Amino acid sequence: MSATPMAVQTRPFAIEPFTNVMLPDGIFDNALYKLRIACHYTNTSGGDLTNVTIYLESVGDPGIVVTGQTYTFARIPAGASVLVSWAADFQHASPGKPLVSFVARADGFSSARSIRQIFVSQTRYDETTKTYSIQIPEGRLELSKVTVVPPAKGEWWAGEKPDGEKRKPWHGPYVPTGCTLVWVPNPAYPGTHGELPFEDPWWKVLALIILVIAAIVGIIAAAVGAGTFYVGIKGEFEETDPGVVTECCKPAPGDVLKGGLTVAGVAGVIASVALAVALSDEADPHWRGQEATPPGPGELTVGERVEAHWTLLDEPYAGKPYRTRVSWSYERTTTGGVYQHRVEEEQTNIHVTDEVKVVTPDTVASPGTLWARATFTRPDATLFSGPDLYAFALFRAPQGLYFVVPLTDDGVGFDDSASDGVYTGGLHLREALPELKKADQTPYGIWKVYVFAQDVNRVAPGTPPQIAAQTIGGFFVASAVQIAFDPNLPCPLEAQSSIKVV
Amino acid sequence: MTDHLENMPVSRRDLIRISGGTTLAAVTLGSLGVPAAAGASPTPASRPAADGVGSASASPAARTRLRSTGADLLIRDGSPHWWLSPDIWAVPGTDPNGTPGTPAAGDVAYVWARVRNTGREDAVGVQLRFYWGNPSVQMFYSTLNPIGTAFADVAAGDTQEVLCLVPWNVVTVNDGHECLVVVASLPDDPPLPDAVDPVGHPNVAQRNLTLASAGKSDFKLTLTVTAGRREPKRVRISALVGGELPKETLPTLGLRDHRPVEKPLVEVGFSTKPITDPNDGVGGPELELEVPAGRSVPVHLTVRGGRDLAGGEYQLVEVVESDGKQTLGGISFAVVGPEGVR
Repeated sequence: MSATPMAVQTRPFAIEPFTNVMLPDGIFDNALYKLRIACHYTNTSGGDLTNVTIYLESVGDPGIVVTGQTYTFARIPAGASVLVSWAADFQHASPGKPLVSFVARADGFSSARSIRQIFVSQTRYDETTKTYSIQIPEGRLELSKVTVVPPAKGEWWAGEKPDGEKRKPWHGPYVPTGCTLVWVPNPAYPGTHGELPFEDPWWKVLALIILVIAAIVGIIAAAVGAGTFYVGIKGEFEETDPGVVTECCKPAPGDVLKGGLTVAGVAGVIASVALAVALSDEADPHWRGQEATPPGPGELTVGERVEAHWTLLDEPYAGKPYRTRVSWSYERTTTGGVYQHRVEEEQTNIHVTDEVKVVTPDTVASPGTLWARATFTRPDATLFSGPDLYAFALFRAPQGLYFVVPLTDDGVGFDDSASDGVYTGGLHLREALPELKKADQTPYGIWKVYVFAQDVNRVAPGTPPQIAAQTIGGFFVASAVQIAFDPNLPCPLEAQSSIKVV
Repeated sequence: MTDHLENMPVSRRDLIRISGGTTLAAVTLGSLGVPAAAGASPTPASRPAADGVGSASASPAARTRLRSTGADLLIRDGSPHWWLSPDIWAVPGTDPNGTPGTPAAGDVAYVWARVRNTGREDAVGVQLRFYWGNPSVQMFYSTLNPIGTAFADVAAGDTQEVLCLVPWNVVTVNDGHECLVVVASLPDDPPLPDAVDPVGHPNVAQRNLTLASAGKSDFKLTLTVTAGRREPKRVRISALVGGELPKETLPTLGLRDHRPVEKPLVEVGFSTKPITDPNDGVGGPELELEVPAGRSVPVHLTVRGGRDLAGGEYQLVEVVESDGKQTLGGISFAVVGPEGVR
């Protein structure tokens, strides 16, 4: 009997379960205790597989506690990639690159194992120095002096207004406009370039992780209080950019728990991403600074500082090629001296879609099925397809209750055909009715459909680090909520489609 | 109950439950009270994995299977001694898919186990716990060191190899000659006694088997003899020289085509104090010990004479702890000569 032709072909990624968002580049961080280990599992054969079971077998860090779970699929078409994930507690995880093994088995085949690395970081905040730090095996990045576009006055919370004791309202989202990044390599290194973080992403991704974690911590604290994140992580940024005269919008507060959390989480990520856009995907300031300042023979680099400031020339709309004007300085400290390099330039968001098209039925009779089909077109007119994206939709009932549904291009369930670029999700009203009844709502009226999609880092394991670093995942290429510099209105949440339920 | 047993195939696990001690009997009554279908059936759950209200974390077509509560799981014991389980092995190095072998002190290694479902229902969500322990004869969970855990689904009648991905950092004490224990369990399994008892528990297995080089110099190892927390014991430590390992076990030691040597070529001795001068001999051929409750005492093992073993040969040495006629535990060594492993 041959081995089941199923494999996890790319690095598994982290999903934060309260907000449903993927963490930057899929990296796990032990400041957030509850994360899901998600992956796309691919049928690598030329034929359909039946009665497929999939489970997570083991994780290489005993500090990561996974809840066992077996998934079954009646059929997985040839070439299809299905999304699966497992709840895990990362509270005691160590920063590193532990292995994770998955086992799949289909009718007529023996079981097959896929082993992949995940990346785990550790973010902390030091109140006395007002500095965030993120620890990984290759060193420590310190983030300080974060300046932001001031958020609109007022507060955000999910569900009922918090009492201020157990839950504190969130004041974000915070759009960064500058920061200081200090990298302390471990160990000090000779030569021009040091090891990349996790031998994969640029250093700026670590800074992005910090900002996203700060946003998520603020949102979770406002929604459910403490207990699921490292105490001491600060979810607020107080230093506003003195050169900025505008203010940032805020998601509408009080939205019902699940959907509201997701909208706020997406807004938090989108706002934070301005840092990553300003600091370029092709090569970030640390790499370029290293390139421009080769140290003398025998010298060891002991620290690298980047001070960056940027102006947003457009509103930071997810999926749009918004521009930033950035100036940054790089300073390398070695055992023999100090080297400096400065750059001023314009950078543009490259995580973009040319068009997001969402198709839904006009009218559905209860208790029928609501569905949505979405296509995401790149600027070169090709479609994102299959495991390129982690996508989901919010179905908002007429009286406000949200339902989160995954959008997949795997040719199973609601989706007609695998990897054709059409991501499909659906909601059986029969299953939704009890939830609606619990919330004292009915299904009748206009349902709104909001679509979100993050790109997935699909770099093949084994790719040289400086090549792998140029591909970063976790950016929203499509989002129904956007960040606008208008403090007078909630952040625009625009439904891409609507369905009338009769 | 008798009729019930006569009309149904009885698994090894059932027999052990029925014939077990007080604790096990009590658990058996509880288990028998649960219909098999309810107790262990992994019937696919009807609800979708991602249930619409709160999660985008799995394909909508994914269904979840409920975790089994109990199953007849078997990790085979060794032959002729239970501590030679062929279903546990280590892979030295950083590649868990590498070649099995004996890790050296300071190495990392990955531990694998093979679990069989001898029952009539699929077992879903089986948890395997992996431990290592210092070389000892009778082993206790309270003195073992956890390595990590892993999950496995094993269809009825099927066998699954399971990998523990937590690297086993082989400590330098005892020169890396450590013992391994693996337990496969489900939530309704009866609790295990502190003493590791693979014979009484088919879901438990032990591998106290290591490669010993006794070529140019003596092979020395400190064994630990431990008494239960609340019970002293008086035991005899002795050795059997000669015999043969199962063919499937040899590759797990890195020995492929090695031949056993039946005629004793090595000399085995025990002492309560370390022997530092080779002229002092190897110690006595056996040792009687009294171990107070909750305490451990060291026994120093010396193996000498492996220089007469040719390349491609090994001699099996089995160290046995016994209490009267009852064997409490043991540890075995495949002794190779100066040429070591070819």
